[in-house]
Parts: sequence; C-alpha cells; structure tokens
Amino acid sequence: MCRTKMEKPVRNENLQQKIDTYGDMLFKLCLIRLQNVQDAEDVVQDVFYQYIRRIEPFESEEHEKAWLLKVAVNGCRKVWRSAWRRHRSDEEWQDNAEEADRVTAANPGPEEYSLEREKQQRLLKAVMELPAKYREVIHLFYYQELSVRTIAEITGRGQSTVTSQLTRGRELLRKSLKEEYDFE
Amino acid sequence: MNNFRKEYGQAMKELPEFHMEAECVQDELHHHRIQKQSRNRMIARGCTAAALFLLCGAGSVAAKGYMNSVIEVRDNGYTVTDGGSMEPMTIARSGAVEAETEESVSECENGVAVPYGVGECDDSLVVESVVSENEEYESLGEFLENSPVTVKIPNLVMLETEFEAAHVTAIDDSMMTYVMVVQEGKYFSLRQTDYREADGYSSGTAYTGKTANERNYTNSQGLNYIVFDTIGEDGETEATHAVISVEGRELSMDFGGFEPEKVEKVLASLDLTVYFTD
Repeated sequence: MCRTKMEKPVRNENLQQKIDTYGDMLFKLCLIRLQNVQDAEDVVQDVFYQYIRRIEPFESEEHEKAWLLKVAVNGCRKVWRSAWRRHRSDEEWQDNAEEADRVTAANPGPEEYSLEREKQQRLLKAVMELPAKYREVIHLFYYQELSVRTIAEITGRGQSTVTSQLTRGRELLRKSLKEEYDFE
Repeated sequence: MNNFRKEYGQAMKELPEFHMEAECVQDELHHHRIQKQSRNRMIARGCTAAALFLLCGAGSVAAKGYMNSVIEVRDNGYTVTDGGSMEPMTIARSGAVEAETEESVSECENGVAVPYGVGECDDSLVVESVVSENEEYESLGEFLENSPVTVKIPNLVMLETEFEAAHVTAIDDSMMTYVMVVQEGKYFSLRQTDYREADGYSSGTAYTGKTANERNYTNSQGLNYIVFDTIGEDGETEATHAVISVEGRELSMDFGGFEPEKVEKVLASLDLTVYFTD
C-alpha cells in the first residue's frame, strides 16, 4: 500500500500502535460504506494523516476513537457523494462478490464450514445491499457496538434519525435474509 | 434463532484485514494523489450537470419568439421555458438517461436512435451532428482577461474559501460558458447559456440528488431568482443551486459545501447590470 517512501521516513511507534489498534476497525467501516478496497484503504490512510496533524490532545481513549470514526465517516461521505463513485462501486462490488464466490467454490472445506460460510456471505451481501445510510448505522451499532447517542455524534445525525434508520435497516434485513435473526 | 450481532461479527472476519506501516501515513505523494482524486470527482460532478444540460437542453431550441422565461423546480432538477414556447420538457435522472441510451434504445440504419416499443425506424430522418468550438482557461483571471464573453462571476471572496483549482470552458463563443472553482470538499460552478439568438427555447437540468427547499428571491436589480437545495441519499444537503434568467441569458450557479448564509449573501450581492449594457 505504501507506494512511495518519504525522503526521511520517521518510524512513529505511537502512530503504529494507533494504526494497529484502530486501522482494521476503520478499514472495515470504510469498506462497508464504500464497497471498494482501494478507496477504503485511501480513506483510512487519510484519517491517520489527519490524526498526525491534529494538534489538540484527546480527552480520553473514547474521545480519540470517536474522532477517528467521525473523520472516517466524513472521508467516506466525500467519496460516496460523487455519483460516479456510486455507479462504479456498485459494479466493483458485484465484481468482488463474483470473485469471492469463485474463491469459495475453488476451496471447498468441510460441509458444515462451507454452509456456515455461505450463511455469512448471505448476511454480508444483505448488509451491503442496504442503502448507505442504513448500512453505516447497522455496522456501527452491531459491529462497533456503539450506542445510538455515539452513532448520532459520529454521523452528525439526530438520535431519533439514527434510531429510525436502525429500525428501517433491520426491517430490510429481515426481508432479505433467509434465516431468522435476533437483532437485539 | 441466529444472533445477528454475533453472526455479523463472524462475517466481518471474512473481509480482508488492514495493515499499514506508520511511514505510509506520512507518504505525502499518496496523500496528494487522494486530494487530486477528490478534486477530480468534484469537477466530474459539476460537469455532470453541464453534460446533462447539453443532452437535454441545447438540442431543444424551438423556432418561436423569445419571451420571458419560466423557471420550474422539479424533483431532481429544474426546467426553463420561455413564456411563448412549448410545455416545459420532462427531465430525466442521470441514471434514466444512461438506461435509455444503453438498454432501451435501438438504432436504425440511418443512425437515428428509437426507444424500443415506441416507434419504427424512419429512414427519412437524417442525423446531423454539430461540433462545438471550445475555449478553455485554467484560471478565472486568464478567462476574464482574454475572453470576449460577458459573464458576471459572483464575489467569491464572500465564500471565505481559497479555491485551489479553477477551470473555465467557453463553448461556441458565448453560447455556453462553464466556470468551476474547487477547494477540498467545496466547489462553486456557474453555467451561463446565451439564448439571445434563439427564437425560443426549453431546457432541463438534472442533478444527482433530490431537490428541496425551493425559495424565491429578488435581487437589487429587481430580478427574480430561484434557489433550491439538492439532498443526497443520506438525507444531507449536497449543494445549493440558484437559477436566474436575465436579458436572454440563463445563469445557473451551484454551491457545494458552503453554509447557506454565505451562499445567500453572495447571491444578494450579485450585480447583473452588466447584462443590460452588453
């Protein structure tokens, strides 16, 4: 991913620690939102680029995590706003899904493992097919395990909006998923 | 019953993992590449409206007398029709335009496109194409200094933004002029179309978001202009748009990423008297 080296590369242990702690979390959020690996990586890199340029200290670890998530959400939003991006990402996600199907078919495991994996892929596909605004809150609520209040702060939406988007997202998932799920 | 939280967490493990070295974050060249991509996306987005205008609007000049124009905000854009012309044309969303051209249109031997199920090929129709002459400028200063076209560019200083890139395209002398300035996350674009030579016209412009918050203003010259917002699928305002018709010219302005108060100040200060003397 690192395409060019700086003239004087500086190993920043603190930054590396943050990347190791939060990088994957931010990347998965961006990937769910943008549905494109390259764009998700670019946004995450940009988030940390902004992180090292931030001067004000964080009040707490929670504050720091929320700030990183907020910058990532805004970064994704910038990319997603482009109609061209929306059009392209749909095609690419389709390509990625087909590629994933090919990989799964080429590496059959034990039957149970295969069924379990198929179920997970169906679930992931159902989430990916949700409109972006629902996909984002569903991911933050169920994967990041954030409260409605924190999601509202990160996304800049009202708490009632987040609650209704969660409800609507769950409804859509219930309709599209074959299996029955407990959403609590 | 499956637990969604647990299953979704498991499914997330199937996604690729992220690893990055700290040095890469400080990779300025990569960062600038992202910034450049962002700018290009902004420009592409602004150009979409212009392209759609050319598709929907420029070809619809009708042979009728020029009268006062009527601006109507629709679901995803607006139409402008001169008072004596035909009904305002229907505007299509960008996706619909693509669908029509890619999927539901058949082509006759003479090259005329006919939507499936709508009609038969008419061999008497002749396809004509017009190649426009474009002048391009890489800065507002260069354009204002060298172009003979009269365009009133609003006082962008009021937007309190240092724009980092600008591009101006003048099509067929003064027929259409497109101005675009961009700063990270923000853009201003102005499209001016000259209908003075046309006997009548009707045009449609579509945006990618839904229109909302339509309002009417009168500026210091007593000219009415229509302002509206476009809302993205995430429910947030994508841009504010203003449309004004003055002395046979149609001006359409798009403000992306600015506070509404600043946009309204810019519009209120717009002095269009230059068009009365041109």
